Amino acid sequence: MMFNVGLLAVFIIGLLYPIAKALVWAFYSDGSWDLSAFGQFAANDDAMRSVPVTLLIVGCASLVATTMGLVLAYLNERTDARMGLFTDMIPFIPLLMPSIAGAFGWVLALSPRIGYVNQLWMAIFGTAGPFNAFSVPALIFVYSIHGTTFAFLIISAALRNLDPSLEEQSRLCGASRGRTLTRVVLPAMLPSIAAAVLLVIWTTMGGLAVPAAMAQPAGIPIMSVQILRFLQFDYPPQYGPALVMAFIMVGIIGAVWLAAARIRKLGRHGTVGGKTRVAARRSLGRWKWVARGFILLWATIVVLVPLTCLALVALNGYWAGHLRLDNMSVAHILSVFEPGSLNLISLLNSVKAALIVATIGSVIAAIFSVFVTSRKSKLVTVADGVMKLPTILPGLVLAIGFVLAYAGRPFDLGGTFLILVIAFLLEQVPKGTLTTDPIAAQVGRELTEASQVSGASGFRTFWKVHFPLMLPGTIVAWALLFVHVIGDLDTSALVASVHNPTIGSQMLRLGENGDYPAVAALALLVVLMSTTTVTTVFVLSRGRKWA
Amino acid sequence: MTSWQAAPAAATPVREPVMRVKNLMKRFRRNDGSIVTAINNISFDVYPGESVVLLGPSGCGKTTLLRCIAGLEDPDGGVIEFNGNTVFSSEAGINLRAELRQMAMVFQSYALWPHMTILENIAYPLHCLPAGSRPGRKEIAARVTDIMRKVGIGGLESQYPNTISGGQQQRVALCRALIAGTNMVLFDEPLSNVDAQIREKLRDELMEMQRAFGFASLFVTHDRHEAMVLADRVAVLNGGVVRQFDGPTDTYLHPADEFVARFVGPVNELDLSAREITGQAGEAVGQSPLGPIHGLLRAEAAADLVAIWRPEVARLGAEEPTSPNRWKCAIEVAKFHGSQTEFSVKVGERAFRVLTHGGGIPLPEGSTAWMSVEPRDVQFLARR
Repeated sequence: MMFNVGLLAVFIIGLLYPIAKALVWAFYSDGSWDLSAFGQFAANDDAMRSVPVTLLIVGCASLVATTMGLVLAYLNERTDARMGLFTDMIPFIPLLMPSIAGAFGWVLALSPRIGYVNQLWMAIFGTAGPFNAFSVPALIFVYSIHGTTFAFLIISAALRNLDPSLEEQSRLCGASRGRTLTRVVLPAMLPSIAAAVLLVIWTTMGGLAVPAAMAQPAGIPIMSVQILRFLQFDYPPQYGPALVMAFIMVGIIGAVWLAAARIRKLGRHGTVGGKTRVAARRSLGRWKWVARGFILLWATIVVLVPLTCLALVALNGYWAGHLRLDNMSVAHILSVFEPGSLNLISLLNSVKAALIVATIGSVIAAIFSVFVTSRKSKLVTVADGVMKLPTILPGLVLAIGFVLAYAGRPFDLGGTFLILVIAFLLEQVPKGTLTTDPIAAQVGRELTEASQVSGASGFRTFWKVHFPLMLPGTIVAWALLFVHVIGDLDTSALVASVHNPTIGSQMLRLGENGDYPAVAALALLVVLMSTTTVTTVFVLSRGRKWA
Repeated sequence: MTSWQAAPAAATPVREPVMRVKNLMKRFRRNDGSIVTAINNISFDVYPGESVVLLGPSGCGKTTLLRCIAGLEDPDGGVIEFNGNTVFSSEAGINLRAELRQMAMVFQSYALWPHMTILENIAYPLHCLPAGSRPGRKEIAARVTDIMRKVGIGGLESQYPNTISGGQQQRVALCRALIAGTNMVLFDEPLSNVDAQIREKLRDELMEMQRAFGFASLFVTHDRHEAMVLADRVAVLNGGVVRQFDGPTDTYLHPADEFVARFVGPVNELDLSAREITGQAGEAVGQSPLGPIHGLLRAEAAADLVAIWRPEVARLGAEEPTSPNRWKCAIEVAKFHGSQTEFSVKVGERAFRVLTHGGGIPLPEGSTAWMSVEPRDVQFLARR
């Protein structure tokens, strides 16, 4: 009990200290409140422009992604176009293809002239390809296909849980399927659709990978990139205007969150049915294959296009107008990781940090989940809410606080491996608890109490009852944390430097220098490590004797 | 016997209780800030080998009481003693944690840990004993095998809980409760998750094992039939208060108040506007909407009263009986149940139930008859 309280307190202080420090740093100087940071922000044209441009791009992307997610979810849950394997695979796509790898993959695919898709177009049609990775439509497209995965996840789960009798009642009243969809299903799903929009906006607005790879070279001002510019391109770093932008970003996400919460509170939506009955599937006839083709095309675009482009550049060792298949060799990838090179150091740093953070973090997440789900006091609920701040604040925003709090005095951890571990732990453990919380709740109060009544101490109860029962979930949390840290860019962009590079920070640097073969090699390794981890965990978590 | 602090008839005066609960209090704060008293000044004892059942409707405080005794909830006041040791005392500032109380409990779901084998589940409490008194691995295995054989589940040691039947799960849970040598087991509605036929079988098994092992039990249930069969004594709870603590027969035949009478079985009732004591042993005459009614006064003189009798003590017949309590009635419905027939009758606008043995009374629906009940079977109880 004391151990749990202590651990939670350390964690909360570790999180609140950077936030408090950021607020003070931005708006307080020489003993009084100072709002000059707003003036600095307003005086910067790019920063000012970045707000409406980001809103436009993110708004369009969330619209496209949610619509796509809805279509895919409906096809998969309510028609015979469903493909079981596809459903099983979708949740893993963002894990198998971290956005940092995907974003650079799309640059290689859609760059004017030398992008592989444009080269293919040229080969087929004989004219220059129309695609341009460094444009607003391309940004919206890449944001959208990333967001579709999240929208699909939320909406398909809601469709699966929606009481089928709501739809059946509508059909019995004489409504067509189309009318039932628009008058019954969609309104009943409104909270889930709102949640999907929120999640898409959250992931795209806070994310650095796509704009860093695509918007930055094109000179399109995007908020997350602008924050990075204030802190890394200006000397001395301009924390004030960067924080103002961070607060605007949090404000926008907060407003969307409030809107989503309002829709949910209205209560005019469907509920989960008491009986676990599966809705009847609509037969699409010959259209089934068209629908399946559409689903497969989407999956191919999301995964195969960027992955193929990354592989081609990495294995060729260069990226140029003509693709030479005879020049492909793994040696090109290996040559990127010469002993002592920043590429190798960043790879080792990321792997080490990912292993440490995933292992310690998943156990801490399990401990927190058990503690929080077994205590019903208001104080614990509030503490849990504060601890989960990193699940709603963009990583980039938190990273500013981490740098301000721990890089300088009194901790002086700037440029060290330790600051990476601390920042990743503080950011990732709360995300891990999102996986372990429901599993801790599933363990059931009686199993815990049976152990207590049998005379077991709190530690023994955790070790012998909770931990083994939560192991499959904790392993999943381990994999999530590992994959997040390996593919991280948002935290690394600010916390890592040339003294403590990570794969993310190194890819960012290499991308700015135009060293795309090295970028591709690192991205390919990220995909390889993520895929291996996720697949292994998928297999491991199914091998329980008592299941 | 209606005093709920008296020892059971079966217990001799020299016997010390296994467990003693004195003036226990427990309050909860609701979300709106209001305070609910879940347990209000409850006291009772449980004697060696005795089976005490806490019976009451949902929310009456019975499970809270059991959890306070186990140490899973913190009471606000009172004393709990177990085997002569005080495990909770608000005055003395004692509140032993659940793991230190050495009580045993069988949960509603049986709470068998799904990731442990049956052997590991049962052996668990032995592994939790302090280092000095913890038996060696071989002895633990031997003791587990021995107790499993005694309850008839030998050979299941290496199975997992999800591979055995509900009855076997109950026995495993009981073995786990008994393995460390406790002399009392707490049961939290362990029969409520199974269907009626299996429930009866499991209940009989439980009683058989209690006789074989001789442990005392404190059993929570909302099922009056289960309570009557299992209990040496039943504590009927409502609103956090023990309304009656008696043997099952007394609780049924001589309920302490209207609530107990209604909760432990079906009743017929008539409001009383006035009454007059007419005899030595509480014999009285009350004034009801159907005229004077003779019965036994079982409440304080000033109480608001109701006359109550069970359907099976009433009589029906075509001829006018001699009993002072007799009314001409209309037979509304007659349901033949095999061993008995259930009649719904009406006296004026008032409905009553009568249960007769067999199907011998030729009273068709729509006919008129006489309903009567002897004064000794009518009780004047406090209305609650």
